[in-house]
Amino acid sequence: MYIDTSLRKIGVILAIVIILWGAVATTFALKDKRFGSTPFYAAAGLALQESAGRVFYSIEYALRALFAGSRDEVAPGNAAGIPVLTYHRLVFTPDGVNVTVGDFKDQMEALKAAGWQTITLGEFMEFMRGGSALPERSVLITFDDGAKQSFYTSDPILDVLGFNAVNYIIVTPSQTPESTYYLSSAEIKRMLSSGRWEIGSHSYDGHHPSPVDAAGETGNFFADKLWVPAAARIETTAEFRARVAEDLRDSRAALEKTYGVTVDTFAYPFGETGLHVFGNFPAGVGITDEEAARVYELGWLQNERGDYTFNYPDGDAFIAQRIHVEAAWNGADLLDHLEKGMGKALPYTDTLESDRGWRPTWGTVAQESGVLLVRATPQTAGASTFLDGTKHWHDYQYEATLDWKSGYAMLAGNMVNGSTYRLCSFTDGNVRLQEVVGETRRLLGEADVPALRRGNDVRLGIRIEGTSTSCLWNGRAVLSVGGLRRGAGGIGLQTWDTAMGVAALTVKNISVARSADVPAPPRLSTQTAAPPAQGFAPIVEWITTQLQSDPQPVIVPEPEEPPAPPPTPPPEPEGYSSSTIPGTLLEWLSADPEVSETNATTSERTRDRDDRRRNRR
Amino acid sequence: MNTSRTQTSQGFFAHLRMSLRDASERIMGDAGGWFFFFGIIYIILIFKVVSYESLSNHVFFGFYSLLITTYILSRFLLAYLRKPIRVDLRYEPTITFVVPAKDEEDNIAETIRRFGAVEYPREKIEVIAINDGSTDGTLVEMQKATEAIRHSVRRIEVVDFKENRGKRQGMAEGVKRARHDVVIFVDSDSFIEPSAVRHLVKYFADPSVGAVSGHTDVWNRDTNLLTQMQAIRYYIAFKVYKAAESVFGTVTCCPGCCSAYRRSYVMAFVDEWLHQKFLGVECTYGDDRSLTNFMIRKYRAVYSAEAKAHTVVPDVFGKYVRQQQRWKKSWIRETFIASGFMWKKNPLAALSFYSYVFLAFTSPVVFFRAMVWYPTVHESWPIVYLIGLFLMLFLHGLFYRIQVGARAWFLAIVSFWFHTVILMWQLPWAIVSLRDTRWGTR
Repeated sequence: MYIDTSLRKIGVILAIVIILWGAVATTFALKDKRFGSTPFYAAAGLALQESAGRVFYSIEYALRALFAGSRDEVAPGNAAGIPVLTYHRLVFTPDGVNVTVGDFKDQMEALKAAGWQTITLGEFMEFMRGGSALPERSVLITFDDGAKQSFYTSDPILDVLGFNAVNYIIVTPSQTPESTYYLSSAEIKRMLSSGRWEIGSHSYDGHHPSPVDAAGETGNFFADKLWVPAAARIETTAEFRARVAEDLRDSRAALEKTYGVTVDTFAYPFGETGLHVFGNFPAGVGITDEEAARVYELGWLQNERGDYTFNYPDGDAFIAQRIHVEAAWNGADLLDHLEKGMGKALPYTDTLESDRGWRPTWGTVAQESGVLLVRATPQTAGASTFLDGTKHWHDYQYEATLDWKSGYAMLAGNMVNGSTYRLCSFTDGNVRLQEVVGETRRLLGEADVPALRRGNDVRLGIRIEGTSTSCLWNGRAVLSVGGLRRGAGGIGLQTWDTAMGVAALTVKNISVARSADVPAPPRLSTQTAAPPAQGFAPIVEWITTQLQSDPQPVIVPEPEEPPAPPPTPPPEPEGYSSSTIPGTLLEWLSADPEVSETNATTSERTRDRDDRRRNRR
Repeated sequence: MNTSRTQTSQGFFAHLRMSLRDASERIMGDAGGWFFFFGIIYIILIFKVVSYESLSNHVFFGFYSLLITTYILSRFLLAYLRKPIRVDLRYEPTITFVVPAKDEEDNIAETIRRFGAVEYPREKIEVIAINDGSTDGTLVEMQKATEAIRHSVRRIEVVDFKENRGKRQGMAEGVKRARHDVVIFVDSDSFIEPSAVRHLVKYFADPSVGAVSGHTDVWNRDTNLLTQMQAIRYYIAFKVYKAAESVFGTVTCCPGCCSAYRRSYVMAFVDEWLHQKFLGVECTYGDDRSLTNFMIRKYRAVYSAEAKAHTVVPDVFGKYVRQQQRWKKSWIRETFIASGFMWKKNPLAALSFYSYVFLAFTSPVVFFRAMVWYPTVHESWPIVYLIGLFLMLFLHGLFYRIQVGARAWFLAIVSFWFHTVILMWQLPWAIVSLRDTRWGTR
């Protein structure tokens, strides 16, 4: 053999073999440590993606800081409410569903440039309990599902901007070995150790459609009764409760054990994305809420139409809202959305030159040429809007100058959400004050005002001060009701007509002032429903005050029937228009607000989920 | 470069480019180049480990992947471990140059001229040139050239075949007429270096050695892309693959462009070789491979990297493809024959040989599956295969770059790809057309 087995050559070969073997072994050990059980090629791709991202962003921001300087000012003022953003995973190519990495970067930069800063879960919960003040532009960023592409794509940007975020982990998928979609535990640990991230629970294994019958039709793990194959039937209520409670408990326990952090917040799978529930158990969501509140401090639901986008302090509430960031939004869009939702201060004037956050609940709401157009669509009988960022207001006088052609014009105050508010409802010659709580509508007072006519530049208003509320017309109080529950909430506008697609309001000016700063407007002297004798007035008022004090809450029995259909524009019950008779004192005295409630009782049965959640305890 | 200090912008950039090239030379030339080389091997190893799971599902393809990686890496390893031997000035056997020629009037003069310029004692050299029925002026050139070197060698013989009898006949004639100990076959379009002879004959000091292959580079390297690619191919084929075979003394082909044989050993089987029949047909092509095959039955064939020669390669694509086709046919035939006795040789040598046979025949199958079947069925690219292929090709290209310098090394990769992907199909075709004994157009 013509072979050279000299020491030198063998030595070289051995050295190379050892180095190569060591390099290969180290590479795999490093991969396991950093990426857990992720397949190698995926880990390599992620490592590349992550390091490229970090390098590029660092350079970009270093250059930017060099040329533009950095902004270190803290935003002035204190926050009235805090928005919470929801992302899932970030994608590179647009798919119409998920936010792209480019858009996310744009959004984060836009927020940073406008002075927004992120807060932690702890800070948020402290704020909600009413215990702390946060800067005006504070936001909480969350990601759902614990996908790899929710971390690797976003973290370089968050790092550079000094932001932090929360990731909601679904336990079972996160334990999938060799997943290329979900973060493995090694990666989650690394995520937590960066100091920028926190985690929460997104259920143990409830994030998938679950079978609700033998045929395999699926429903929602946390809202529907599931099929029990072993017993060949649907589960009982007790079984539902046990199953849901177990998942909630186990997810918290598993996450805390694996990662050694406190996990006290819960993000409802699917329930917040509006995925259709099968609907075989309307009480299901309520039970889930109860059980979740036993295990967690805070539960997240998605912000829906008619909800304020920000979260205002509410020490008792278990549920808080998150804004789902749309795939179509770029930085300017998100910033605009948030700026509109920011808490507004009293006194407030809106010339309606620009949209300050009038959110539609139903119908169409448009703003152009300095007016706000609230109009019914051909499919609706009315329209409703509210001003975002006003939930914390209380004791104010709210007036709107508007053109009003048909139907009813209604001003809402103390608006807690899209279906809970106090309403001054005006029509030709009549005004009513109602308390709306979900599906229930209670008449608090009514008056005939012959002079009150539709027209242009009509100035309508509602004044809330302490325990009394007045409806105003052209600067005069046309209806006052006292002895009401104190409350707080924002302002809104509604319109309604008997025919579809007809109702419309053109609002030209809005002004809201603190009731303490503005004297109570004088009573309209031609109010026919006023007591005939001046002398009796104080007594009458006193008596009615007593009768109307502490209005009884409407008792709603446990729902056993299918839930009410989704909120449609509240139809004006037929009984209303005929219930008022130009009254005598006797009728005034005998007008019992509770009795005069008519077919609103048809929907007395069920409260919707929002109502339960927001008004529990 | 110490040019004048004219600092025109053009001069500056040219200087910069030169500096960069020098720097890259330095980086690639020594440690840097090897770092990249082993870096590629590192990536290949990682890749093999990672793709292990997906390959372990298919035993056949997993085995193929493992085998081809091991085989190729082992070639580099063995080439590294090859021990060259020194020229022993005391050992000077007599040599005979045998150069058969047909229609080679352009090159034959130079070929023969070089015989006169070798660094070897004059009286130990003889030259036998065979004109194999040429239709051009080859004979005249031959006579002129041999006349010119008459005083540099001991004896000259010009043999003229009036009709074309085939290269084997020419070579056999040369061997029979030779009177010296070592016969050096040189192609009529090959040009040997003066030092080649000493480096060829030094191995014959070992009586077990029957044949020595020289190192042949491409003469017309810069003609076009095709010749450049062939230059790279020749280089790697000799420096890595023949060198690896040489460790065991089982070089399977000492090419006719420059190889030396011990005359006494050859004479034992020259007639058998001359009248070799395969599948009932007389063999005409693959004379050098066949001769080597006869030799290694009993003796050893080695490779001498220091014995340099150059040869002219086809610069026209059609000619090139036909040549390759011919070579593949001779490879099939001779490999089939060698399979019958290679198992008796050194176990590693036998293993290498049979592995290579297996790989050569399964490569088209694997290629077809990866590039045609798989994308059709799975509608996705066979990433594993493509990356593995690319890494191997890159490894070869990098080797070339380190050894030879910045000379279109990327082309090395392209050329390997070309041979792997395009020309591998010649093998199945060669099997089919084995009995066709035509040379094609030379």
